[in-house]
Amino acid sequence: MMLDSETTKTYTRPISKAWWLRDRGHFNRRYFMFLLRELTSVFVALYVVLFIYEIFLLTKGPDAHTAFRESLSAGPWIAFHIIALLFALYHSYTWLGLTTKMQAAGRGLVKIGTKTLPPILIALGSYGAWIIATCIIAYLFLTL
Amino acid sequence: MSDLRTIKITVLRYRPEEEDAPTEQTYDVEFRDDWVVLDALNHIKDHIDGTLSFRWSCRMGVCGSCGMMVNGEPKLTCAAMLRDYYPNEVRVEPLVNFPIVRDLVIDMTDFMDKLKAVKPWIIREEEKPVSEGEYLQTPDQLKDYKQFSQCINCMLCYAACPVYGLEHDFVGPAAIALGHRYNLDSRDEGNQQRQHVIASKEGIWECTYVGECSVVCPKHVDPAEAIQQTKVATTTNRFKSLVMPWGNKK
Repeated sequence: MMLDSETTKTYTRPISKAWWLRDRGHFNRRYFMFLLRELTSVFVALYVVLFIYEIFLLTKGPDAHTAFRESLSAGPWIAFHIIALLFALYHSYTWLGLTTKMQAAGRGLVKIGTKTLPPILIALGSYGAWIIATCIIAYLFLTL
Repeated sequence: MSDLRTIKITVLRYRPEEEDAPTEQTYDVEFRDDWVVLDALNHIKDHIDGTLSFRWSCRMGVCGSCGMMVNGEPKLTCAAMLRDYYPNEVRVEPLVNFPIVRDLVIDMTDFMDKLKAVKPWIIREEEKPVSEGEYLQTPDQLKDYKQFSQCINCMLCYAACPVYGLEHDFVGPAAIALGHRYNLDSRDEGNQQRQHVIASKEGIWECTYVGECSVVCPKHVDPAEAIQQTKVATTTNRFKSLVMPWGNKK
């Protein structure tokens, strides 16, 4: 039914600011986890700013950089890094998990000939590449 | 009859000529074990209160008319069994994220406009004459899009999508899934005509993947999957046209 919006008096319900916490009286876990995933980018961005500042301090000489590194061993900074790490892990895990969505059985984007690769292989490949890349970066940081 | 039980049905009422905002009304409904929420609404309209307004048609999960919020969740009321809620109360509201016209009836104009914008029909650059026969398709080609063709336009996905609720410009799950359905169809040549709607900021890029559209879809269309597939395909095509501008852009 198409309406004439000029003459029809409709009612639009307001959306609560806490829609992601309580959705019409019920806790919706998926809305909550979605907003948590959006929040991860704040912590990732804060970590990147901190990292860029640390690199900037290298231009100020080794003493300034070392002093900054030592200040990071304080409790609140360690807590921040742990939280940022957890958020980064959650973001990466859910982002890579999305790769299965482009690959549903029978109509996936990645094919070998006419055969669609199973979504689980795409997910495992993504997670595997993520772990390998992390190990290589960790090795470079810890040994160089 | 001995198998009758009584359940409380609370319905959101909105009578624009009488009130400025919706109110609630509760009815006691005797129901049989095989009744769905839509049966209760029809019972109320036929026997208790003839002023109650709602949409329905097929009563078998095909027409997509009877979508409403049942205890806060978008549902086809013809598929929501009362016995699954009994002895608790059932609360029926119009689909959220849409303006209410009257009682449980929503204004679907916005959805219809968006659906039309994605041109959900087969587009040919040039139609071949009937004498040349049908456009043939293999079972594998049919499989590519069949799931997305199951959409019944019930709009449950729009009610489930907080992005659509907050950003009304968003083309939305069902319209994008249906556009994708025709883009995947081997007989179709309209991809470029749909791109400015589907691959726009208000299209796939507005979606931040809550995923609730696929959870509530009664036909398992999985609109979230359609959107993610389109994101990957659009990005790949854009990248290809950058590195190989002389290539086929279809």
